[in-house]
Amino acid sequence: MKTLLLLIAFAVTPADEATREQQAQEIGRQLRCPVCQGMPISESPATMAQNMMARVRELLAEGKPPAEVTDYFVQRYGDWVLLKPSTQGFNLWVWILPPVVLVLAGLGVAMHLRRDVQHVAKQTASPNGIEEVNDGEDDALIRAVRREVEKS
Amino acid sequence: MLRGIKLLSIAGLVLFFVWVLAKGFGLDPHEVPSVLAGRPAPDFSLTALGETTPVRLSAFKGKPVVLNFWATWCEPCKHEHEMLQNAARAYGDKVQFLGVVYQDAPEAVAAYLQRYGSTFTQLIDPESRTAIDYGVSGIPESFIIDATGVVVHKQTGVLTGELLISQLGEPPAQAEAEKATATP
Repeated sequence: MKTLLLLIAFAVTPADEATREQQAQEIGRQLRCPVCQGMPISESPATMAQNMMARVRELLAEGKPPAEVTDYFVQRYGDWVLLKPSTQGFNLWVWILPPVVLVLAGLGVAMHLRRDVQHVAKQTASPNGIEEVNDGEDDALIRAVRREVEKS
Repeated sequence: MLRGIKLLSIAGLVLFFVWVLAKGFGLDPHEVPSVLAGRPAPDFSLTALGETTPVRLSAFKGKPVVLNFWATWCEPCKHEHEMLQNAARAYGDKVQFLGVVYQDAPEAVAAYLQRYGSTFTQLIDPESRTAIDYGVSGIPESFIIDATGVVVHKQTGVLTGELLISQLGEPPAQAEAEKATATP
Protein backbone atom coordinates (compact mmCIF):
# COMPACT_ATOMS: atom_id res chain seq x y z
CA MET A 1 0.00 0.00 0.00
CA LYS A 2 2.81 2.39 0.97
CA THR A 3 4.57 1.61 -2.30
CA LEU A 4 1.41 2.35 -4.25
CA LEU A 5 1.00 5.69 -2.47
CA LEU A 6 4.63 6.59 -3.17
CA LEU A 7 4.21 5.70 -6.80
CA ILE A 8 1.11 7.89 -7.03
CA ALA A 9 2.90 10.77 -5.28
CA PHE A 10 5.81 10.72 -7.70
CA ALA A 11 3.86 9.93 -10.82
CA VAL A 12 4.33 12.31 -13.72
CA THR A 13 0.98 13.52 -14.88
CA PRO A 14 0.19 14.44 -18.48
CA ALA A 15 -0.15 18.04 -17.27
CA ASP A 16 3.47 17.93 -15.99
CA GLU A 17 4.64 16.57 -19.34
CA ALA A 18 2.78 19.29 -21.22
CA THR A 19 4.25 22.01 -18.98
CA ARG A 20 7.76 20.61 -19.38
CA GLU A 21 7.40 20.41 -23.14
CA GLN A 22 6.18 24.00 -23.20
CA GLN A 23 9.22 25.03 -21.14
CA ALA A 24 11.49 23.01 -23.45
CA GLN A 25 10.05 24.74 -26.52
CA GLU A 26 10.45 28.15 -24.85
CA ILE A 27 14.08 27.40 -24.02
CA GLY A 28 14.62 25.95 -27.49
CA ARG A 29 13.40 29.19 -29.05
CA GLN A 30 16.11 31.10 -27.18
CA LEU A 31 19.03 28.89 -28.17
CA ARG A 32 20.86 29.18 -31.47
CA CYS A 33 21.45 26.08 -33.59
CA PRO A 34 25.25 25.67 -34.01
CA VAL A 35 24.71 24.27 -37.52
CA CYS A 36 21.86 26.38 -38.94
CA GLN A 37 23.04 29.41 -37.07
CA GLY A 38 20.14 31.71 -37.83
CA MET A 39 17.60 29.30 -36.39
CA PRO A 40 16.60 28.31 -32.88
CA ILE A 41 17.18 24.69 -31.92
CA SER A 42 13.42 24.24 -31.51
CA GLU A 43 12.98 24.78 -35.27
CA SER A 44 16.25 23.68 -36.85
CA PRO A 45 16.21 20.35 -38.72
CA ALA A 46 19.90 19.74 -37.93
CA THR A 47 20.65 16.59 -35.92
CA MET A 48 22.74 18.63 -33.50
CA ALA A 49 19.75 20.87 -32.78
CA GLN A 50 17.59 17.84 -32.11
CA ASN A 51 20.25 16.44 -29.78
CA MET A 52 20.38 19.76 -27.94
CA MET A 53 16.58 19.78 -27.59
CA ALA A 54 16.77 16.25 -26.20
CA ARG A 55 19.30 17.51 -23.66
CA VAL A 56 17.00 20.40 -22.75
CA ARG A 57 14.19 17.93 -22.08
CA GLU A 58 16.49 15.71 -19.99
CA LEU A 59 17.63 18.60 -17.84
CA LEU A 60 14.05 19.77 -17.28
CA ALA A 61 13.02 16.20 -16.39
CA GLU A 62 15.84 16.21 -13.80
CA GLY A 63 14.07 19.14 -12.17
CA LYS A 64 16.40 21.91 -13.29
CA PRO A 65 14.72 25.32 -13.64
CA PRO A 66 14.60 26.86 -17.14
CA ALA A 67 17.19 29.53 -16.30
CA GLU A 68 19.66 26.84 -15.25
CA VAL A 69 19.01 24.87 -18.43
CA THR A 70 19.71 27.94 -20.57
CA ASP A 71 22.83 28.65 -18.55
CA TYR A 72 23.99 25.05 -19.14
CA PHE A 73 24.32 25.83 -22.85
CA VAL A 74 25.79 29.29 -22.29
CA GLN A 75 28.51 27.68 -20.15
CA ARG A 76 29.42 25.43 -23.05
CA TYR A 77 28.88 27.63 -26.11
CA GLY A 78 29.16 31.09 -24.64
CA ASP A 79 26.77 34.01 -25.06
CA TRP A 80 26.86 33.28 -28.80
CA VAL A 81 24.31 30.47 -28.27
CA LEU A 82 21.65 32.94 -27.16
CA LEU A 83 19.60 34.24 -30.07
CA LYS A 84 18.84 37.36 -28.05
CA PRO A 85 22.19 38.93 -27.10
CA SER A 86 22.82 39.43 -23.42
CA THR A 87 23.00 42.93 -22.01
CA GLN A 88 26.48 42.55 -20.59
CA GLY A 89 29.83 43.84 -21.73
CA PHE A 90 30.22 44.81 -25.37
CA ASN A 91 26.78 43.30 -26.15
CA LEU A 92 25.16 46.23 -24.34
CA TRP A 93 25.96 48.40 -27.38
CA VAL A 94 23.73 46.16 -29.52
CA TRP A 95 20.79 47.25 -27.38
CA ILE A 96 21.75 50.90 -26.88
CA LEU A 97 22.98 51.91 -30.35
CA PRO A 98 19.86 51.39 -32.52
CA PRO A 99 17.48 53.60 -30.49
CA VAL A 100 20.24 56.21 -30.00
CA VAL A 101 20.95 56.30 -33.74
CA LEU A 102 17.22 56.52 -34.45
CA VAL A 103 16.78 59.46 -32.08
CA LEU A 104 19.85 61.26 -33.48
CA ALA A 105 18.71 60.69 -37.05
CA GLY A 106 15.23 61.93 -36.15
CA LEU A 107 16.70 65.07 -34.58
CA GLY A 108 18.86 65.65 -37.63
CA VAL A 109 15.89 65.35 -39.98
CA ALA A 110 13.77 67.62 -37.75
CA MET A 111 16.51 70.30 -37.64
CA HIS A 112 16.97 70.13 -41.40
CA LEU A 113 13.22 70.44 -42.03
CA ARG A 114 12.98 73.34 -39.60
CA ARG A 115 15.73 75.20 -41.46
CA ASP A 116 13.96 74.60 -44.76
CA VAL A 117 10.68 75.93 -43.35
CA GLN A 118 12.43 79.03 -42.00
CA HIS A 119 13.99 79.70 -45.42
CA VAL A 120 10.62 79.40 -47.14
CA ALA A 121 8.99 81.64 -44.48
CA LYS A 122 11.62 84.36 -44.98
CA GLN A 123 11.22 84.12 -48.75
CA THR A 124 7.43 84.57 -48.71
CA ALA A 125 7.69 87.39 -46.09
CA SER A 126 9.99 89.57 -48.26
CA PRO A 127 8.08 92.57 -49.90
CA ASN A 128 10.09 92.29 -53.10
CA GLY A 129 9.55 88.60 -53.34
CA ILE A 130 13.29 88.16 -53.20
CA GLU A 131 14.90 85.96 -50.63
CA GLU A 132 16.26 88.07 -47.82
CA VAL A 133 18.66 85.71 -46.30
CA ASN A 134 19.79 87.00 -43.01
CA ASP A 135 21.37 83.90 -41.59
CA GLY A 136 24.94 84.98 -41.95
CA GLU A 137 25.55 83.49 -45.40
CA ASP A 138 27.31 85.86 -47.68
CA ASP A 139 25.96 85.60 -51.18
CA ALA A 140 27.33 88.45 -53.27
CA LEU A 141 25.22 87.48 -56.26
CA ILE A 142 21.95 87.74 -54.36
CA ARG A 143 22.94 91.12 -52.92
CA ALA A 144 23.81 92.35 -56.40
CA VAL A 145 20.48 91.19 -57.81
CA ARG A 146 18.63 92.79 -54.92
CA ARG A 147 20.39 96.12 -55.58
CA GLU A 148 19.40 95.99 -59.23
CA VAL A 149 15.76 95.19 -58.43
CA GLU A 150 15.55 97.93 -55.83
CA LYS A 151 17.00 100.45 -58.32
CA SER A 152 14.25 99.63 -60.76
CA MET B 1 31.99 77.74 -34.48
CA LEU B 2 28.65 75.93 -34.59
CA ARG B 3 29.64 74.44 -37.90
CA GLY B 4 32.94 73.28 -36.42
CA ILE B 5 31.17 71.58 -33.52
CA LYS B 6 28.76 69.94 -35.97
CA LEU B 7 31.62 68.62 -38.11
CA LEU B 8 33.49 67.34 -35.06
CA SER B 9 30.38 65.57 -33.78
CA ILE B 10 29.81 63.86 -37.14
CA ALA B 11 33.48 62.86 -37.33
CA GLY B 12 33.30 61.51 -33.80
CA LEU B 13 30.18 59.47 -34.58
CA VAL B 14 31.72 58.05 -37.75
CA LEU B 15 34.92 57.07 -35.92
CA PHE B 16 32.87 55.45 -33.20
CA PHE B 17 30.92 53.34 -35.68
CA VAL B 18 34.13 52.36 -37.48
CA TRP B 19 35.56 51.24 -34.14
CA VAL B 20 32.43 49.18 -33.39
CA LEU B 21 32.59 47.50 -36.81
CA ALA B 22 36.35 46.99 -36.58
CA LYS B 23 35.82 44.94 -33.44
CA GLY B 24 34.21 42.32 -35.67
CA PHE B 25 36.63 42.50 -38.63
CA GLY B 26 38.75 39.40 -38.99
CA LEU B 27 36.30 37.28 -37.06
CA ASP B 28 34.56 34.38 -38.72
CA PRO B 29 30.86 34.80 -37.85
CA HIS B 30 30.34 31.04 -38.23
CA GLU B 31 33.10 30.12 -35.84
CA VAL B 32 31.74 29.49 -32.39
CA PRO B 33 34.14 30.96 -29.84
CA SER B 34 35.32 28.50 -27.24
CA VAL B 35 34.52 29.28 -23.68
CA LEU B 36 36.52 26.29 -22.51
CA ALA B 37 40.01 27.71 -23.07
CA GLY B 38 41.73 27.91 -19.72
CA ARG B 39 39.02 25.84 -18.00
CA PRO B 40 39.03 22.18 -16.94
CA ALA B 41 38.02 19.90 -19.79
CA PRO B 42 34.57 18.38 -19.18
CA ASP B 43 34.99 14.78 -18.14
CA PHE B 44 33.23 12.06 -20.08
CA SER B 45 32.77 8.32 -20.05
CA LEU B 46 32.37 6.93 -23.57
CA THR B 47 32.61 3.47 -25.09
CA ALA B 48 35.35 2.81 -27.57
CA LEU B 49 34.38 1.52 -31.00
CA GLY B 50 34.02 -2.25 -30.85
CA GLU B 51 34.52 -2.32 -27.07
CA THR B 52 32.24 -2.42 -24.04
CA THR B 53 34.49 -0.95 -21.35
CA PRO B 54 33.95 2.79 -20.91
CA VAL B 55 36.86 5.19 -21.41
CA ARG B 56 37.01 8.17 -19.07
CA LEU B 57 38.93 11.36 -19.89
CA SER B 58 39.99 11.72 -16.26
CA ALA B 59 41.90 8.43 -16.56
CA PHE B 60 44.47 10.27 -18.71
CA LYS B 61 45.28 13.00 -16.24
CA GLY B 62 49.04 13.42 -16.07
CA LYS B 63 49.56 13.51 -19.81
CA PRO B 64 48.31 15.86 -22.55
CA VAL B 65 45.27 14.76 -24.55
CA VAL B 66 44.32 15.61 -28.12
CA LEU B 67 40.56 15.19 -28.47
CA ASN B 68 39.36 15.15 -32.06
CA PHE B 69 35.67 15.27 -33.10
CA TRP B 70 35.21 13.85 -36.57
CA ALA B 71 33.04 11.74 -38.90
CA THR B 72 33.53 9.65 -42.03
CA TRP B 73 31.17 11.91 -44.00
CA CYS B 74 33.41 14.91 -43.31
CA GLU B 75 36.04 15.40 -46.04
CA PRO B 76 38.37 17.75 -44.08
CA CYS B 77 38.26 15.19 -41.22
CA LYS B 78 39.65 12.56 -43.57
CA HIS B 79 42.49 14.88 -44.60
CA GLU B 80 43.28 15.42 -40.96
CA HIS B 81 43.03 11.73 -40.06
CA GLU B 82 46.32 10.70 -41.66
CA MET B 83 48.19 13.47 -39.83
CA LEU B 84 46.62 12.44 -36.53
CA GLN B 85 47.55 8.80 -37.13
CA ASN B 86 51.17 9.78 -37.73
CA ALA B 87 51.19 12.17 -34.77
CA ALA B 88 49.77 9.50 -32.45
CA ARG B 89 52.57 7.17 -33.54
CA ALA B 90 55.23 9.85 -33.19
CA TYR B 91 54.17 11.03 -29.73
CA GLY B 92 53.71 7.48 -28.48
CA ASP B 93 52.67 7.31 -24.85
CA LYS B 94 53.68 10.93 -24.19
CA VAL B 95 50.37 12.25 -25.53
CA GLN B 96 46.98 10.56 -25.59
CA PHE B 97 45.05 10.92 -28.82
CA LEU B 98 41.30 10.29 -28.69
CA GLY B 99 38.82 10.46 -31.54
CA VAL B 100 35.15 11.16 -30.82
CA VAL B 101 32.81 10.06 -33.56
CA TYR B 102 30.31 12.81 -34.33
CA GLN B 103 26.87 11.85 -35.66
CA ASP B 104 28.06 8.86 -37.64
CA ALA B 105 27.17 5.18 -37.81
CA PRO B 106 29.64 2.95 -35.91
CA GLU B 107 29.60 0.53 -38.86
CA ALA B 108 30.69 3.28 -41.26
CA VAL B 109 33.46 4.32 -38.87
CA ALA B 110 34.63 0.71 -38.44
CA ALA B 111 34.75 0.21 -42.22
CA TYR B 112 36.68 3.47 -42.68
CA LEU B 113 39.25 2.59 -40.00
CA GLN B 114 39.60 -0.91 -41.38
CA ARG B 115 40.59 0.63 -44.69
CA TYR B 116 42.72 3.57 -43.51
CA GLY B 117 44.04 2.29 -40.23
CA SER B 118 43.68 3.45 -36.65
CA THR B 119 46.50 4.19 -34.23
CA PHE B 120 44.39 5.70 -31.47
CA THR B 121 41.14 5.05 -29.65
CA GLN B 122 37.87 6.07 -31.28
CA LEU B 123 34.92 6.79 -28.97
CA ILE B 124 31.21 6.67 -29.72
CA ASP B 125 29.24 9.71 -28.49
CA PRO B 126 25.52 8.85 -28.22
CA GLU B 127 23.24 11.82 -28.96
CA SER B 128 26.33 14.06 -29.19
CA ARG B 129 26.28 14.64 -25.43
CA THR B 130 30.04 15.03 -25.23
CA ALA B 131 30.05 17.22 -28.34
CA ILE B 132 27.49 19.48 -26.62
CA ASP B 133 29.58 19.49 -23.44
CA TYR B 134 32.53 20.75 -25.45
CA GLY B 135 30.49 23.32 -27.36
CA VAL B 136 31.16 21.63 -30.68
CA SER B 137 29.37 23.39 -33.55
CA GLY B 138 30.79 21.47 -36.50
CA ILE B 139 33.63 19.20 -37.46
CA PRO B 140 36.50 18.76 -37.49
CA GLU B 141 37.00 20.33 -34.11
CA SER B 142 39.83 19.41 -31.79
CA PHE B 143 40.75 20.27 -28.24
CA ILE B 144 44.22 20.14 -26.79
CA ILE B 145 44.09 19.39 -23.09
CA ASP B 146 47.19 19.73 -20.96
CA ALA B 147 48.47 17.24 -18.39
CA THR B 148 46.48 18.93 -15.61
CA GLY B 149 43.22 18.48 -17.51
CA VAL B 150 42.85 22.09 -18.66
CA VAL B 151 41.80 22.96 -22.21
CA VAL B 152 44.66 24.98 -23.71
CA HIS B 153 43.49 25.21 -27.30
CA LYS B 154 40.37 24.69 -29.39
CA GLN B 155 40.90 24.16 -33.11
CA THR B 156 37.94 24.78 -35.41
CA GLY B 157 38.77 23.18 -38.71
CA VAL B 158 41.67 20.98 -39.71
CA LEU B 159 44.37 20.47 -37.12
CA THR B 160 47.89 20.73 -38.53
CA GLY B 161 51.14 19.14 -37.48
CA GLU B 162 52.67 22.57 -36.92
CA LEU B 163 49.94 23.51 -34.51
CA LEU B 164 50.33 20.25 -32.60
CA ILE B 165 54.06 20.85 -32.26
CA SER B 166 53.51 24.44 -31.14
CA GLN B 167 51.17 23.22 -28.39
CA LEU B 168 52.77 19.90 -27.43
CA GLY B 169 56.41 20.35 -28.36
CA GLU B 170 58.36 18.13 -30.72
CA PRO B 171 57.45 14.44 -30.73
CA PRO B 172 60.05 12.42 -28.77
CA ALA B 173 61.32 10.53 -31.79
CA GLN B 174 61.85 13.72 -33.78
CA ALA B 175 63.48 15.48 -30.83
CA GLU B 176 65.90 12.56 -30.41
CA ALA B 177 66.75 12.58 -34.10
CA GLU B 178 67.41 16.33 -34.07
CA LYS B 179 69.56 15.97 -30.97
CA ALA B 180 71.56 13.23 -32.65
CA THR B 181 72.20 15.36 -35.76
CA ALA B 182 73.08 18.42 -33.66
CA THR B 183 75.69 16.56 -31.54
CA PRO B 184 79.18 16.99 -33.10
